[in-house]
Order: sequence, then C-alpha cells, then structure tokens
Amino acid sequence: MIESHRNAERMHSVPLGMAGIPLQLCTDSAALAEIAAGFFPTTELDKARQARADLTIFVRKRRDVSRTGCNFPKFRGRNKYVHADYGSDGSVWFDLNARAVSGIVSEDLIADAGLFRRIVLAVIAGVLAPSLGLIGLHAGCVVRKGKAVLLAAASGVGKSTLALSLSMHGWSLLADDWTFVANSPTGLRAWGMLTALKLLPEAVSFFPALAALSPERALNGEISFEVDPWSFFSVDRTTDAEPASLVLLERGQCACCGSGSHMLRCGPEEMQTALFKEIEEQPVGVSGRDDNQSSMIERLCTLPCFKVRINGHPAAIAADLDPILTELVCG
Amino acid sequence: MVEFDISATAPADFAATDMLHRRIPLTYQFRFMMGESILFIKTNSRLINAALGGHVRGSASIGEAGAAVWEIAVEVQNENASLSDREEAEGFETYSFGPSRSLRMDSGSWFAYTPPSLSGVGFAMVSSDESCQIRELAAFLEKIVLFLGENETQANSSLEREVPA
Repeated sequence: MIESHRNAERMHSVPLGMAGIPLQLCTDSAALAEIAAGFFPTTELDKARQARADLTIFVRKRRDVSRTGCNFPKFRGRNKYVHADYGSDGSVWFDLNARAVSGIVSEDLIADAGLFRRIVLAVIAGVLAPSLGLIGLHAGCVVRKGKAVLLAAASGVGKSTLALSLSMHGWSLLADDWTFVANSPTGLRAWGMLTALKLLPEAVSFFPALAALSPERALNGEISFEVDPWSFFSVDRTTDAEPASLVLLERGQCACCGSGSHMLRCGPEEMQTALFKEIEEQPVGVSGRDDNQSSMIERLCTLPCFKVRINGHPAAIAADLDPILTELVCG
Repeated sequence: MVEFDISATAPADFAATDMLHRRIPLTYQFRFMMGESILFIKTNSRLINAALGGHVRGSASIGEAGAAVWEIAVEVQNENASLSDREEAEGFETYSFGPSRSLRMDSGSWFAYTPPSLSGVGFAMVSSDESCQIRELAAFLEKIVLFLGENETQANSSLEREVPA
C-alpha cells in the first residue's frame, strides 16, 4: 500500500521550540498543530531563528480498524535511523543527522491529546534531543529564584515524589523524570517539557488525592499514575532555569546517622558516572554523539554535587531538604 | 550456496539503556548481487543466507570498495504476535523523511536508507518457526530490492507516491 498525503491547501506550518531551540512543524491537522504548539512552546528568540529540525506529521484514519490501537510505540533504531512504530496508529521516522522527523498518526491518537503528548511528542523530544545538542538527563528538577536543583536517580528511587513534595514547599516544578540541559549564551540551562508527572502506585499513600485516579501502564512499562502536576496538585511550573546544584538520590538510610534525608558531598566523578549510566549513547556517525554530551555533563558536574539517601515519607524528606537546598541555591 | 558466514563473536547482552536496540550485534555477513551492484548484509541471523537463495555470490571482503551494506537485525516475535498467519501479499508503506526513505511492512519489519547510497538498515520481524522465518525474510529482502529499484527509477520524478513528503 502506497499512499499520497500531500495536500498543500490544508497544510499548517507551525513554529515550535524545544529547550530554546527552534523547530518547524508541517502538518495537515489543525488539532495536531495546536497540541504540538502547546507541548513545544516557542520563545521570541526561537521565532527569529532558523529551525534546527523539521517535523512533518500527517493524520489519517487508523491503518486497520479491526485491530486495537497501539498505546506504546515499539522503538527500533540503528545508525542515524530510528523508527517509532505505533502499529495501526501510525509510524514516526527519524533521520538524526538530517534532524528530520516524519510520521503518520491516526485520528484516534490525536483525539486523545494527553496520550498523543505522552507517546508521540515526548518520544520525538527524547529521540531528537541529542541531535539538537541537548542532553536528556534522567533527573527531576525543582527551581527557586531561577536556580535549579537537579534530582538524579534510577527509576523507582523517588525522583517524582520528592520533586513534587519540594514543589509543595514553594519550589517550582521543572521536571519530575527527564530534564533537558542545553547550552545557552549565558551557560548551561535546564529545561522541562510539558509531560505528565509519573508516580508509582504506592505514591497514593503519600498523595491521597491520587486515589481518585487509576494507575495505568506508562511508556517504560511501569504501572503508574500519570497526572498533570501543575493543575492536579496546583504547584508552580517553570520551563527553564540555570542549574545550581545536582543531587544524586539513593534509597536507604544514611549510613552515618540513620537519617532519612542526610545530604553528603558527592564527588564530580561519582555524579558523572551516575548521569552517564542513564544516558542512551548515540551511535557512531550520528550528530550529537561527539563530545558534546560528555563535555556538558562534565561542566554540569562542576556545580556543587550531593548525595542523599532517602527513606520515609517524601513530605518529611522535602521538609528536611528544603532549607538546605534553599540555602544552597539562594545563598 | 554458503559463501559467507562469519560468526565472529557471541552476541552480547543489550545495554540497560539501549532502548532503541541500536547495538544488536550483527555477527553474520553475506554478500549478494542486486542487479549489477554488490551488496553485503550484516545480520544477526544465519537464516538470511537461506532467504537469499541463489542470490548469494562470491567471497570477497565486506570492505570491498563501493559495496553497499545493509545492516539487518532479525527479531523473533512473541507468540501473540504471530506472523505466520499473514497473507502472502503483505501490505507495506513507504515514507520519506528528510533525505531518507523507508519501507514499513505490515509485520512491522522495516528498512531505511538515504539515496543515492544503497546502504541502509532494517529490522525484520519474524515468526518463531524457522521455516516461516526463511519465507518471511525472503519476502522482506525481495521487498527491499523492489523498493530500492523503484526509488532509483523515480529519483528525478515527483515523490507524490510517498508519504509523507
């Protein structure tokens, strides 16, 4: 089956932005254009610059209506090519060197804006980021007075619960799971995306309001609650900030004092190792693979780095850490 | 006729962060002719050789100047995603993204390349049964050859038959 999806009269050309980098979207769907513009908001600076990546996404009816929709893309990639396969709901293709993204997605997928953001737009952001000179760090991020604290940890340690709890102590939430770091004229800058906050089912004991929701399977296979933290928990949101400190979270009590949230100084090498461990290495020959990621992480790790063993209720941990982190970033 | 079957190393486990499966070790190499062009297939499946049938040729080095290389990772699908029941004439779609082109079959198998080079990468989704695998791989390779041939003849014409342009 070979189809034609060209209809210039219906095309929408939309400027987008990702972590301060201008992108350009071409689509035949007004609905898709609107969702994408909300997910990849532009800055005034973006609008004045040439797009660094081109996205072309068409919408059509589901490939095979007899089959159920595919809520989870199947990723496969090699060299500069990446394919996110949504089964009957479409395909998205990446040429990482050309920074070109093209896809066809089903009307059904567009009809659920939250799902589309989560499994298509967030995927585009994550896959494309290194080619745009960004690093996606597996870290939450909270901000006070324009200064960001990155909370790095492996899955399940408690990045999201702690980031949310700190947000309830007056911090702005930039990201709970993935923070993008970009070079800017004034130095490194941390950016968050408009993605749902992902909380594991046991988080309901910390945040009882979650009981009104049903946990679902997340993109990484985990069963979790996914909520818009800014509206559901009424916390402040910040899109970008200057990184001021990095905190490596680990499960367990502090070995020296038994505390559930004791901060210890962490060497830059240890922090680098932890950050690199969670990064998808770019293939040989793909732009963004060079030393950009390494140099950015090395620069990031020259900031004050700490390690915190967390154990207990995230609200209590946040109450302990809040004054320390505030002092750290605000002096 | 097996002319090239190099099993250099045992496949390594994927890295924990290797969610895109870019580093599936391709330990077998086969050489064949497509028209007048020499092509090498680097793959993780020895069955590619059988799927190529009589097209396997020669025993030159993969570093041969000017030769195109296809990197084909073969993945066995789980029982729930049985492919053997599919009709012989499996559907496919072609795409254009930036300078690159791709082919996606209903089974989820795909191939991508950037003209004018004939080198590219692909993922073949196959059934667990070996005899089915050979048939599926043969159909996949045949489709790639047709796809490349069609693109070559249309190189200077409109891309209106491809999506999205």
